[in-house]
Amino acid sequence: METREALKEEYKSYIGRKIIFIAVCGALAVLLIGASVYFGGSDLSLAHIYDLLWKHITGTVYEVGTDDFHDDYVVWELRLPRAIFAIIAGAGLAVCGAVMQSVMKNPLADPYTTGISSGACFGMAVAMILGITIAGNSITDMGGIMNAFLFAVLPMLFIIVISKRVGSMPATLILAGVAITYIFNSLTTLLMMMSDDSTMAMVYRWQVGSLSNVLWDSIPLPFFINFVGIIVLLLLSRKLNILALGDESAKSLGLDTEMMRVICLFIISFMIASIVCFCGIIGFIGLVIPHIVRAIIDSDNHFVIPASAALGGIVLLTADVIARYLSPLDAIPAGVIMSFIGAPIFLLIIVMKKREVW
Amino acid sequence: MANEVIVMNTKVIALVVVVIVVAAGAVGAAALLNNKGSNEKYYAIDGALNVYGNADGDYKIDGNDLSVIQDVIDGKKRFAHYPLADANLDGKVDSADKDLVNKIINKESCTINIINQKKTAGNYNSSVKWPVKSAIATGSSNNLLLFTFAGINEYVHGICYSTTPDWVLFPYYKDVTKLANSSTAISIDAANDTIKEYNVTALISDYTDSTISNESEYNKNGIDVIRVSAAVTDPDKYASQLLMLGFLFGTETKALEFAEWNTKVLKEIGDKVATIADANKKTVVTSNSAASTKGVWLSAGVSDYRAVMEQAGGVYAIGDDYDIYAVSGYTSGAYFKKGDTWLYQPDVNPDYIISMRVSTWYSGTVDVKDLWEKSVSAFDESEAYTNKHVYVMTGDAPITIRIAYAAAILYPDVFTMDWANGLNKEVFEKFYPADINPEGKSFVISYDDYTAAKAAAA
Amino acid sequence: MTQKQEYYRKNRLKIVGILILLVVTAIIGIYSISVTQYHISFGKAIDIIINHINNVEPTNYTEWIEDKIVCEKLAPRGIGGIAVGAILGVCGAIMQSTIRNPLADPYTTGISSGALLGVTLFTIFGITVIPVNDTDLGLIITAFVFALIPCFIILGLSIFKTITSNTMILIGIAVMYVFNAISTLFRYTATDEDVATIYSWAVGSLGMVDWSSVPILLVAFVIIFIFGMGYSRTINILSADDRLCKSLGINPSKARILCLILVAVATATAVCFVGTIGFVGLVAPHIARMFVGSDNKYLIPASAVVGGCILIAADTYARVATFTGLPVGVITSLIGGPIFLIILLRQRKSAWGS
Repeated sequence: METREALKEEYKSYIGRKIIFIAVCGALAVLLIGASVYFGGSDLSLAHIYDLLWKHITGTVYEVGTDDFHDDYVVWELRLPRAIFAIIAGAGLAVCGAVMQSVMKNPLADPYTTGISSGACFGMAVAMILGITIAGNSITDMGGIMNAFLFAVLPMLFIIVISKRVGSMPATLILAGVAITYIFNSLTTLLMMMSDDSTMAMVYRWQVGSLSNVLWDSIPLPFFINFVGIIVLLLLSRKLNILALGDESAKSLGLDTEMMRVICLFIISFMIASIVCFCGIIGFIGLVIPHIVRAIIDSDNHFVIPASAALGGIVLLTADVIARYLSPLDAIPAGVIMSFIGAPIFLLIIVMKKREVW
Repeated sequence: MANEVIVMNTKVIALVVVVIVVAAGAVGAAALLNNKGSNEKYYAIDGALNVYGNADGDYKIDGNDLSVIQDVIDGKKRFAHYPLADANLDGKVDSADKDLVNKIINKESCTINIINQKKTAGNYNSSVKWPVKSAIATGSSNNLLLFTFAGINEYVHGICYSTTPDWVLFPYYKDVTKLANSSTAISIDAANDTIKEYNVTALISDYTDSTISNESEYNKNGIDVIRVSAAVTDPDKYASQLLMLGFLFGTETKALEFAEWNTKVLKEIGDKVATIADANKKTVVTSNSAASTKGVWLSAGVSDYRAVMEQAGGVYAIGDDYDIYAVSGYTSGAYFKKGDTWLYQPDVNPDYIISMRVSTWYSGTVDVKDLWEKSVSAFDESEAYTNKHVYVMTGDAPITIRIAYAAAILYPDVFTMDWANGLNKEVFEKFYPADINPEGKSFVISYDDYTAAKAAAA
Repeated sequence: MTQKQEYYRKNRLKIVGILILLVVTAIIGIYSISVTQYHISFGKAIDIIINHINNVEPTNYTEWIEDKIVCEKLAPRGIGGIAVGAILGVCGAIMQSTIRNPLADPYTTGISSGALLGVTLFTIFGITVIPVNDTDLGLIITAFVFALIPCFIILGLSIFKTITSNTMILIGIAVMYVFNAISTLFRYTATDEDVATIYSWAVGSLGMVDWSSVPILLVAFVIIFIFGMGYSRTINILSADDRLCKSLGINPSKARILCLILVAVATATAVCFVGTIGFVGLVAPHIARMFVGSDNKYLIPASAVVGGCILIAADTYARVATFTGLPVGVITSLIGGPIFLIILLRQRKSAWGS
């Protein structure tokens, strides 16, 4: 029938828009990796960089101490893993934010505002300062991540229980998150003061969210965990859509809401822990990116999740590039730039939304 | 007959005496000539060159080390007693070690191994491509002083610092590229241009563990990391630092001369301090920072600043049995601000409070009132302050000079200020390439100086 | 007993409870005078105060310094500590009632981040609002003025939008994030010393309280206390429902803003002397509520007393049990945090309405 055809066409273009958005974001992400390698303390031309990359991939090895050897080291060992990690972290944090917002039906949920990042950070501080870990014994392997995971789960549990007791209004959740962040920050401060100056400086620098210490060996675990996490969440996206309808409707459609919530939040905590371990706390990505994405392509989680991943990666990488551009001596961390971008947007979101939403 | 005997005996005796004198002269001349070449001077220092290959543990690598290695190979000496004999760090002493030492003696390029120190983590070994011709460094004032005295300035092409050094003291470094805004970390990316331009092969850093935490990255990039402790007060340890740099960069002579002078002066001070009776010793605390809201940092425990005071003969008021950790949560000191009271307790209450500050002392443009207030006004309720036993002194001067000034403050009858000023002048005249004359400038601010400055400003 | 008599009896119990707590606070406060790093026994401290009041002159350095310690440091610190705790308690009670949210505290208006920004600008760039020679005074004034900026932002936005309780929280927090971002950016251009200064201020400590700040704190407390008691009926109604307010002839938005401004000013006064000490304003009203219920006529004085008690106890503990480097702010969050979470977990949803 004619209406049916028209509907089909409309639906196709509707979906098509979303797919194009995701595709464009994905392509931009790849291009941006290539461009970001240009920025940094050392002055290298773009042509030279690509020449080095190509030669490295085809297996040329340089003699130690030559100019090319040093340039190759900088480009391949320092800048490239940093760009890749930025994409992974941005994607992971954005997807965590998007899913948290669906699962808790709270447009202001994100790893940072709910205090989960602070908890993970405290776990890392425990591993670094006290040396107490559950598994493994170094920071670049599972030891630190498991610690961070354990301490990221605590805020998560608090938030779930609190939102059931006191109501799940966005404001309440945020206030609880602020309180939890405050508690964990105090605990971390306590630990920091018990250690000597150099450890304290290390923990402090790392708390803020900087990609300076990212190398190739910090990539495998976060990449693996976040990749698997995003795929799993994508597979669960249909159920997430149902959750968004409301608990009663969801239950009547046969979905075990509690189980679903807990599983999602566990996956999210794991992803966040793996990222926080290597770069500290970077806020606002999980909060702001899903809102922007939803404003463009609506709230179907099938598309919101991949789109958030792509856009999140781009935004964090851009923030890192800006940080490197502004301070070639690598003084300003990416997390600061990110909060500089994200906080005003957050304020804007609150002020401009209609009253009923809150 | 008797006369003839006596005359003959006298002649014989004279002949014998002449023969003995000539023989002695010959032996003496031979001994002098045999003394390892007529250009070799003997330096009166005890510090050791901490490089593998320096088997006998003295201040240089020479033929003596070869003989020691040969003795170990032959089994006459035990390897465990001469750990530095294993020049190539392969775990055994053999001819390969001798070859390496020979290369060093002949000044050929090779890769040597040195001992690096880390404050908490302890010593570890590092390999260095030798001789080093070009380096970058972390630029604290103490480091820059060490570099100047070791004569290696022209080889350093990039430094990092958070507080700007006094360019009057380090005019060479004014034009050197700044690599980072912190004194503890240099990003390889930021340093890359300098590394390429000057073919840098080494990075000189200090012995704090947190400095240059990306050391393994530098090693992968082909840069060797050398750690020095530029603020040690012990003459032998300081000599080791000078020897290390002198050896690595080929400026041994200069380094040795300064090491010798330094050891001599510190020994003089030590001897004089030993003449002071225990009952007359004064207690002292020292700080090196300005007051922030957290307060002034008072060093304690293991601290280079404390060591300066102790070498000057002071007894540190925050003793090792005092639980500073319980007061401040740090093991190396504590903050003290105006509201605090722990310093006044009878078991701490120091006789003297001396603050060592970095400022423009050598330009003679120190703002006396401002520096005093920022450094020691937090202590104005202490007994030391009421007795006018509080001082602010220079923290830029070479370590030995700081010790001299501290000694002059604490024991004015044994060490005079003129003597300390004289040493200050002497060290710059003899060993410093830049034209710096400390004469006429003041390096110690006393309470009276402060009141005078305050009155003048009003 | 009739219902009326029952009601009055309960009220008298509440008043008695508050008075008992007041006495406890006073005792802790007096005890705190003897607690310091310089170990003075309690009896000796009392002797010193008596001597001081009788104008007995100290004879040697030790006596002189002990007199100074007790009378010029610890006494004002004790009084000031109680005053600050009381201010935070009252402000917290008012905030929770007017915003109708159990998680509100005096800093929800963004005061802490505003003050931090002021301190950052002052320490690093020397920017002051009023040029003053004395660094301490300049710091305090700058902190005070900047602490009020987020409040003015909320005020300004209220012209364009009706401020519901939730919106107020969210804007306050958003402003807090923005200000924190700016502060953090500046911290990266600062030297290590400045960073240590700012950081230590941010955590909060009673160290800067002396005889010149005590009168100001007491005045601030009296003002907010009288306001709270006088306005308590309106606040009670505000905590119920906006529509109820309107039907009783009170404009809820305006009433809320008025409360906000007074809370902001009082808290800013406290914050600029002692930094941000968290959780006192959050936990005190909850504990008070457990004893005297939600009627603000009793809740406000009870929160004042509980707040004062908590803070002076935490400060005394910080001084006696741990190293000086541990600020009272850390202690209050370590104790207050878990207490707060436990309280929250035992809450019932109905107590808070929508």
